[in-house]
Amino acid sequence: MKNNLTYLNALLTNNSVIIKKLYKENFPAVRKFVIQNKGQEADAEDVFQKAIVQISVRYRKEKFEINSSFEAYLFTACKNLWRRELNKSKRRVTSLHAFEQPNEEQDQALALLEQKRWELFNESLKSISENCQEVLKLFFTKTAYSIIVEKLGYNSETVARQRVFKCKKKLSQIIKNDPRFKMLKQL
Amino acid sequence: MSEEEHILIDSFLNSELTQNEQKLFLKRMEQSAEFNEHVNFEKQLRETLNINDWSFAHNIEHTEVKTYVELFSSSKTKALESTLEKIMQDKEIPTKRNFYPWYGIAALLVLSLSVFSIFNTGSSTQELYAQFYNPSELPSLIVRGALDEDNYNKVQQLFEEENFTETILFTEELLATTSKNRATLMLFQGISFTETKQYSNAIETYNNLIESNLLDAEKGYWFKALTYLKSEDTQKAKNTLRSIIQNNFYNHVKAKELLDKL
Repeated sequence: MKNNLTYLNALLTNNSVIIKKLYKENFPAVRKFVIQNKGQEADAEDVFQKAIVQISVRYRKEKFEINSSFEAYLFTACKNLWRRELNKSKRRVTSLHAFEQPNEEQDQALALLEQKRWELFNESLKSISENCQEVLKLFFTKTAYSIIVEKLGYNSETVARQRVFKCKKKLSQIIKNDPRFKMLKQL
Repeated sequence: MSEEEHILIDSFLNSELTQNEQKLFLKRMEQSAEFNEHVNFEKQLRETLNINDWSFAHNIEHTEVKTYVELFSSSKTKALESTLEKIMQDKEIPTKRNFYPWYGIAALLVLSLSVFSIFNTGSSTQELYAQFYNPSELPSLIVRGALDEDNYNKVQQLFEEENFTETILFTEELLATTSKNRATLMLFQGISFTETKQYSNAIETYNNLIESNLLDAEKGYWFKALTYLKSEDTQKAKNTLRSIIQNNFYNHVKAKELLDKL
């Protein structure tokens, strides 16, 4: 996509005219999303800035390709950074091991790699059958097996459990066979 | 990984193990790198693919993390951050939403429908539809300087005049030819179908919106729920509202309020 390259190159060259255009056209949607999801104007600005910087750093390192429009990609990056922010309080509480607190640049680097992992997992999810996607989405959003049975018309909870197991196995295989996984799993 | 192991890891991640079982589980994680890897992967899967959660990385000693840290610390990145800060300080974007001139008319319509319902024995789903359908939350289609500006303005006008049959025709034509404002066009079209009781067409339009990668795709769920409500399919309305709430989609707070009333 031609526009995507224009925007990516503008970030690399710090072209304030194009960056301003990007901000004017895309910030309102980000602001709306953040405010609708427990945030403030300042949070939206922070998320928008971090997303732009994240994309520029990633592009500087590896010239990655954006398959959607740049605007849609930027919005997803912002949404994920806000999801991350909302979940930060649980980071230390629920992790399985003790970890050193990252400084600002380390935290940005971790967020970038988490975004890459999110992309790999979501792309892989989209590549399995629709039925599997549906059952796994319910499973991952912690829906009780009794409700999965009701929603998807399985005969019993045992059948639903087996289906989740099979679909998750398929998804795991796809993720683990992807060359990107080797690096991302050690995070 | 066997199915038994999968159930065991599930139970651990759901905090369903007894104290003793958990102790044994953690010990096994310490002793077996393979098992430890399985547990971590399962945790990452759950956190990444749950829209309300997030999977954090922690390994700041990872070479890739170190490479990115250098780039984030570089003078080029700092210059970009400074440009963004300057742009944001300008605050050229209005912080208050625009209320469209037809907001008053819409409010009056909602009010009159509610009053009508009170004095009538109309079903409660119709009352709720009138209460929760709020056209003022729709984005405007008015575009300035575009080649097909007139067509967009026409659709906006027809919709505001509640000429829904014409709105459907114009939106269909525009959707077939343009890539601009597609989500708003689909919303105008979906609502027009609903208002003219063409419910299956409305649902199809919203499904197309939901499946698109447009920024406003999530809105499709809300208007789909309202369509089910108006067509008096309470069960489907409830299911759609539950999805909105579970996934924190657009209008999830209103969705909760509406679900409580159904």
